Amino acid sequence: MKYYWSKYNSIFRDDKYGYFLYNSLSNKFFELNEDNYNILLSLQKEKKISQNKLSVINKSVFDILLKTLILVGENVEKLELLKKQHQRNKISYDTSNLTLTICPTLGCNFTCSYCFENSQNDFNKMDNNVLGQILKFVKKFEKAKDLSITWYGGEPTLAFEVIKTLTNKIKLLDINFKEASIITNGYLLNKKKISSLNDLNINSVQVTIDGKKEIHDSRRFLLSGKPTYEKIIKNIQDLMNSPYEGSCDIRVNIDNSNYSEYVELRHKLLKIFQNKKVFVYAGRVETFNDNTCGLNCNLSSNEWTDFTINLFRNNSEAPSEHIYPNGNLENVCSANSINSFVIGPNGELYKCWEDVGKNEYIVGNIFEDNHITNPELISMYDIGTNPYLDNECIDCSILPICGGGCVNRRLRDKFFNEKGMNYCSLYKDNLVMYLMEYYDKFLTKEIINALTKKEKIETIGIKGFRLVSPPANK
Amino acid sequence: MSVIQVNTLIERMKTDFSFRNAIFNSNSIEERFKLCRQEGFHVSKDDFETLLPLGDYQFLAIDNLANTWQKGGPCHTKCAPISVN
Repeated sequence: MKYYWSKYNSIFRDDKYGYFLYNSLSNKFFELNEDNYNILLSLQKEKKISQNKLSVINKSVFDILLKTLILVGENVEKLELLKKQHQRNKISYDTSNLTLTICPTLGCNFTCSYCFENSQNDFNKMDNNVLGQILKFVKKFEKAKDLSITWYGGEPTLAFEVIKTLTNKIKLLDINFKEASIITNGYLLNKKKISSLNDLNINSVQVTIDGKKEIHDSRRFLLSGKPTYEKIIKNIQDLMNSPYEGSCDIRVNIDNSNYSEYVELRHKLLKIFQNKKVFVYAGRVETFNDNTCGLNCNLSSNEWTDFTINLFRNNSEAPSEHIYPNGNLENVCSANSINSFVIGPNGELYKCWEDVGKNEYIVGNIFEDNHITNPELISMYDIGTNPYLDNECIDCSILPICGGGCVNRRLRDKFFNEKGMNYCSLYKDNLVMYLMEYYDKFLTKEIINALTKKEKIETIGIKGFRLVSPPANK
Repeated sequence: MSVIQVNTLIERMKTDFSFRNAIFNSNSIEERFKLCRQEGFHVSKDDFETLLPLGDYQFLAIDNLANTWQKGGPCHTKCAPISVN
């Protein structure tokens, strides 16, 4: 039997904490002593591992290396990737749910310089003809038991009557209208609208702000130039003091001009909304060449990693990219799910929020009998962005914990030759930083346990290694 | 005992392998605190329980970490979540 050093291993020495080995396929993380580190490092250098090399490894250690996919037999990795791909396909082609993002208008009362949409001045609203056709469109998905809707735009509160009318009609359909959410700038979310959210099945409101009042008002202002910060915060207060039963996510857009003020703002907001279902998180602004501020305002991947790790270290805020990788990650979103669409105001269909208003990214139309009118684009999204069919990804040491990154950016990079599409996971360049940040907290927890609980803590000891991964997902 | 002193002990244990191993290999909490005192740290179990709420460290379970778009939460950009049963 021939064995190979897995291409998904990362073996490294950390100046502060010593020697480590991580495998992204099994998502297992080991602390090593120096002897084992040197033995395993020498295995890494061999393509096929010779019996001589293997003979110096203790049998129990060898068994663990095989079980955790650090050493693999012929085709073992291929089979593991097939299993992951199967899991991804199961989610992508699941027809038991229908997930719609509906844009009742593309118009917006704000004029943000970094917005990726180009249609903010189109204030047309969905008409009754489109609403009626949406109902017919929903009925086509006969196997779908549950329906989830995200109201999006433009600014959806500009067409709130459309939301009410369509919701009331959808409720009469033979499908379980499970939940809805709304992505809004919050400016027009007045008490009257708030009072109807529960009836509209809306249980999540996402509002974006751009930092402290001064910065926010200099970037997120009305078309007339009027500031918006105070009214948005007042509206969120009204929302959370109302009988509304859902939650509110405050996304704070972060770029290189406001990241230093985020912590102070977060504390302030959490204090205002203490004991309310309000979550405040940092959202990375990622602009492209077609935005008025170009690529200049983005934080680079390394800067963003530093920023989020510092937040985690000092403020216990976990970034959206986990500190310790999620081993069950399958990059499935609206863009590559068979039963998920974004519907524009005229009934045009898109696969991703970022495509809204762009004719070249329209995949179909609800008025067509066969609603997919651009099967090539659907295929590009579905198959063409599949990382398990991409040799560069298959050879990347972090594929199993990355899942291929943002589907929309992969598509634009691979099929539309757009520049600056960075879709890879932050783990690609910064895995060790994330793992060591995790290990530091792991160690802290162990030390506290050792001094407060009776349990004995496992050390590297004579075995020369120990598992330090978090408990597996249940 | 202040938070700073407790944190100093934790930081020392993180980087001093032999000290840490001695504590981890001890059979009782009393023995562990005795070793701490021998190293000049006059701390007690109560200090830890009072000063360091263990809740802060519960994020180490994967399930408690932040949302990704797979979990229907906000991801690094404005991704459309899908429902997964």
